Amino acid sequence: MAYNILIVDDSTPMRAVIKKIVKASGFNVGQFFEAINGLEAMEVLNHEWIDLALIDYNMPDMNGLELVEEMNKHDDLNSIPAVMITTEGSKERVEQFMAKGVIDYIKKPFTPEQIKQKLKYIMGETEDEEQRYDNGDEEFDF
Amino acid sequence: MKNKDMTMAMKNSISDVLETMFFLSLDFSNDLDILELWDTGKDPIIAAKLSFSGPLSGYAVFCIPKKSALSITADFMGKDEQAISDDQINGTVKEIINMIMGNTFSLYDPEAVFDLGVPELLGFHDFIKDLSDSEKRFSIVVEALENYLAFQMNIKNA
Repeated sequence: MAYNILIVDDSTPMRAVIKKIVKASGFNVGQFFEAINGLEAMEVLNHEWIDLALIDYNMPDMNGLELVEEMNKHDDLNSIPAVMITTEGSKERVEQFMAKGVIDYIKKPFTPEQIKQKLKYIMGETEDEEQRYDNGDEEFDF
Repeated sequence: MKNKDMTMAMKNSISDVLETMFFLSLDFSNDLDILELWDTGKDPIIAAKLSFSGPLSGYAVFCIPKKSALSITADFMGKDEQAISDDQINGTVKEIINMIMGNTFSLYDPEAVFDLGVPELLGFHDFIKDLSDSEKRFSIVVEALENYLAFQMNIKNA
């Protein structure tokens, strides 16, 4: 199955890099969609079929958590797996993400292999719980 | 707040971010004055500022020569330098300060919650003004790409 992926990040280089890593990971991608903040992401979500949303936490106008809260208000959007990408890793913040329905989080800085393992786990392509938090020493050319 | 712990957290964070995500080989340079690092007449400097609040509040500034920022951005995005726009360079510089500060606070105190602002670009003169704007400051200079990159955290409620 090919997945449509929405990347939400206010940083143009970061969106490009995440896209490149996802492509290089061999993950079966249908289409990529991009948005620079939560408001723009809602526009995309209201018009396109999205299977997975990779969402930066720290964005202007509508941050990642506010976007997830907005998605939760809509029956057709609240089941889309949302993964938070964040520099912040405090226990309280992570609990806050999970309480709002975020399925998982990716902490920056990340390696390509970490993204690959997370996506595979989230989309049910591996059942190995250990791989979910594997730091990924494997050589990965992207 | 322990100065030594914060300095160590910043250094570890800078290494994590610049080596893991930007593939840089770097050395920490001690005892250098940030204001004397560059000949700004020859080489434009890009500076980005990020405010934070929480158990500590203040802001951090990161500055980097534009030609180094161009090189990092091109490597990061896997493109030729000629294909890189100013917007992409500025985006990379802002992303670097964002990642370094978020990671610094996680390393300094994994239990504490800090709120980071949205990174903004500063003119170099604003940067100089901001350098001495608070009582408690941590400066770290890194040598990479045959040039200097500088970080400073200014804390207002230490």
